[in-house]
Amino acid sequence: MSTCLTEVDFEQFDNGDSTDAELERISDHISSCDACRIAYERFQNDESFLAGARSLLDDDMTIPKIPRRRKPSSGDFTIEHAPKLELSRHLPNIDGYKIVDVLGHGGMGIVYRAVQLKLNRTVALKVLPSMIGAANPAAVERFQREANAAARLHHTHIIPIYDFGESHDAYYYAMELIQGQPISVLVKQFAKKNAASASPARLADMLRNTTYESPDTGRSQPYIMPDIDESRVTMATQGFGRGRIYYRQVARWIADAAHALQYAHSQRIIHRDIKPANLILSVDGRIMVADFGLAKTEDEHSVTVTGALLGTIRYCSPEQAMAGRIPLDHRTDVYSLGATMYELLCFQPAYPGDEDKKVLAAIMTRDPVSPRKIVPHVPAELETICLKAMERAPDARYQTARAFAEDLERYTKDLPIVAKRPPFHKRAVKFVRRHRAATTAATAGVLVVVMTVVLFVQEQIQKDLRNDVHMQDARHAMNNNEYDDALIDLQAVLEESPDNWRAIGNLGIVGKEKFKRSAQGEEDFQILRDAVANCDRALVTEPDHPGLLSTKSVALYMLKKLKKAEQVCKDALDSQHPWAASNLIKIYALQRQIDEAKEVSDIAARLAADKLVELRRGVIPRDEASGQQQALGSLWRTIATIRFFLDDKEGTEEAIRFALKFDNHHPGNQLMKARILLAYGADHDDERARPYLFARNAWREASDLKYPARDPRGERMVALAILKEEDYSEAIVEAEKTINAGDIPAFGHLVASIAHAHLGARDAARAHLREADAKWPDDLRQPGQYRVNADREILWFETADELIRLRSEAENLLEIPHSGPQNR
Amino acid sequence: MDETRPSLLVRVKRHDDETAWREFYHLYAPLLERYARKRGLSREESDDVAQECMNILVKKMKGFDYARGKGTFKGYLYRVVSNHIADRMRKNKPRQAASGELRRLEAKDDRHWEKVWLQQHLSFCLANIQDEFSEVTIAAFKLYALREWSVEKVCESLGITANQVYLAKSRVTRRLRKELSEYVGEVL
Repeated sequence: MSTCLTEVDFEQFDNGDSTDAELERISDHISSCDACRIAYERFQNDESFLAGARSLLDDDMTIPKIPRRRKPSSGDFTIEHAPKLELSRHLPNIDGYKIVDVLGHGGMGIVYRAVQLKLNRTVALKVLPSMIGAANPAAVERFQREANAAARLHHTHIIPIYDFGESHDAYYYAMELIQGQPISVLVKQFAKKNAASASPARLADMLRNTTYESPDTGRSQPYIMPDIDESRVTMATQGFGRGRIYYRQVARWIADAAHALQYAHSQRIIHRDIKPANLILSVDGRIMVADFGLAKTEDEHSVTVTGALLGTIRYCSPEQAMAGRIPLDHRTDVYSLGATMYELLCFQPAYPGDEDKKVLAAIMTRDPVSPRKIVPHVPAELETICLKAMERAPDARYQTARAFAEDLERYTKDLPIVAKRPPFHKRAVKFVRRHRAATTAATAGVLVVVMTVVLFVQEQIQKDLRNDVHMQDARHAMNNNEYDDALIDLQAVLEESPDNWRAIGNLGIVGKEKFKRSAQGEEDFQILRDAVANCDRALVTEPDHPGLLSTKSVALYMLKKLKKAEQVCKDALDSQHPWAASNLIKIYALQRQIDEAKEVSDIAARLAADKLVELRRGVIPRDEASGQQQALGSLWRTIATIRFFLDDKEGTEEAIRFALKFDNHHPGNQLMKARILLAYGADHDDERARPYLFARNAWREASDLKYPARDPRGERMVALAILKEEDYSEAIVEAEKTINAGDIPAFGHLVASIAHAHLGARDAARAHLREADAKWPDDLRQPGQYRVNADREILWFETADELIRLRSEAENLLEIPHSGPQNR
Repeated sequence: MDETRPSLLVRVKRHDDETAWREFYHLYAPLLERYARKRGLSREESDDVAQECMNILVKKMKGFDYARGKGTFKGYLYRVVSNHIADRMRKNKPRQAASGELRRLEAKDDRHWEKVWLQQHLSFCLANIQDEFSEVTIAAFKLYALREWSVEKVCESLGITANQVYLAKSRVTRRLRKELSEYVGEVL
């Protein structure tokens, strides 16, 4: 036996800081000398490399698979990322042009300053990433068609396209290089320098900016100086407020852009991407519309780049936001120009916010805040014109860009505009909705009491204002899953007005959500009973409210009152609201009435398709649309779950695709996706389609939603997913978790058995198989048997078949004859 | 100071080395995303930030002068990503400032960056080297050295001897440190 070891040896050994022979000597010694072994196991070095590694790796120690290890193949590089990376990878090489530098990025390409060699002129060259061509021949065809059409546009306010084509797999087009600034940049300066109340001279300075150069005479009308001079006279003689000057200028710019659009529309070209960044104010004061013919493609592909397109999303029309598949008409441009105008009026976007999804939802469901509420001295006429252009229903907007332009011009000429404020009765309807109690009194009363009523209404408005703040805070808290905070605000509302049905209803929702987030074994069913009672109270006022009905039915089935819950859903079915259908499917499934669940889910799938059409057409009232989308996400997941249970592969994949489309971040959707990938495999070699990632993501999303960290269904999925990823030691670790705390310990033992078998540890594999048999749940013995729950509103089946399949996988690996736990 | 292994950066600079770009992407994109998450951005925002930074890197790497001591790549990357995060944060200000989170997080920047930087390199390198060992060796290393299972438990679970477990720990550690030093120049 060699000499005993010191801590120096241990440290060296821990860090692998020596030759093979030396490490072997130390290892041999530790293994054979009890004293040294004990000393080594006690030897703790917090400074060691491994201690650092442990603290860094946290819980997530699954070794990521990196495609680089494999032989590169065309389909290998991650599908979602490759195109984005390709975007700007190479400085493009375009025949006939010499690229000088980068001018800027658009959503779909990079704009370079370049010299067109043949004519020796400097141009702006927009180069589209080659991936568009590779991935999508239709997009190429469309690019060529549109560029072709756009190149034929000749208008004072449209940036001319000189040339377009394809070179070295890149598509490009060359346009006139305009000296000037996009409106998106100017708006920021205007805001900073308080342009809205600037004197004419200061505004002129502002516009001239530092980049002002000698105007390009001959071709264009220099707008700024004469206009402002004229305004100065007007102001002096007619006493207009200072701010008018800026707003008149805005009206002219937008009118010019609208004329340009009208011309393009007459050539059957829709711009589709009007936004402040695409309106350039040249140094000679012309407003120029850029980027014709580069409308973003509306196919699947654009979904993956939405993040990069946020600037565009903000200005897209509701019909663009909704679908992407229905043909758009020219009125989408009217809307987007209106949204651009809005920003010039208010110095902030009509729909602020940084999250695509929220911005899109707002565009689809909410009217923009009136500009005068943000900047009080916006001229009322311009506000009216702007809001008319931005009407969500295309039919309510200006029907042509010309009409839009002409109304703006009427304003600049001080003529009465055509657009009207919403008629009084419409505003009255909104008012009545807000002040139901007060106005009921008003209509019942006679003229004599009008004064009293007015006073009452005023008081009511003040109260409403206070309540509005609390309600908004409550809603905000609920959106952030801060249910205790929401509770405080709701109670404040109820103190002021104890009969506020919205507050009562939200109380019910908060109760249900709180219950959903309680850890297993710590549920307080009284919360649910209170939630049902609150829903009932609110339903007295609003008997058909889908959110209330849904909350009530969920609370009821969580209370295991399945028959009652079923009745609530059936009553709500008439409303055709997706919630009713998805809850009913869950309730049938919980009652093990699979045929009924399937029938409802088949009907619901058709209903969901119809709803989608309605959403796209804008038939569904605005204040309901976003809730409906969420509900559709949940409905599709539930349908996917039923179809998966019935082993309908295609149907399942279709349904989960829809579910993720509507609600990509719901942990249930991610979990279900992981499960489907595990069962059916991925269609392509997309790295992101790895079940492990989906399972892990579900975990993370759940913690974002403040769900309890442990959900046995999720833990089982993670263990199974890691097993599929072939990281067997981690699979063993995960399996242990589900063995110790899961409701089906046999599942964990089976995963552990398979993982051990793969590592050649047959004894442990057999031991786990025996344990699995010993703990096999009685209700999952025979093929076809299943267990079902809908915890956290996620429907979930656990089947005997899956356990049996895992068992035979373990048996195969261990090369032992099939037996099956049921034959024990 | 930490240095990023010149060879990867040099290969990436050549711009036509597909494998190098792939490696570069898989190493740094998740790193940036993770860091942005740590700084409090949402998943989408972090994804965007990582993407924006990668787009910049793709353009700038050609001109990145490793030898002339303009600062390390790590420092450069930190500046790029911090700017993008700060940009997002400014836009989110009302939301962030309300929770007082912003300032607190800013103070912690450097430590987060340090941690995420090493974290990502560590798991990246672990993935790089795992094919050089048998599956059991890697499993023994992870269970014993990282998960801190007892030797007995690892032996029993994997059906191997204590000697094998010890050797797995020491050898994989040695290899891992070597790989890591090629990427970050210095080891923990």
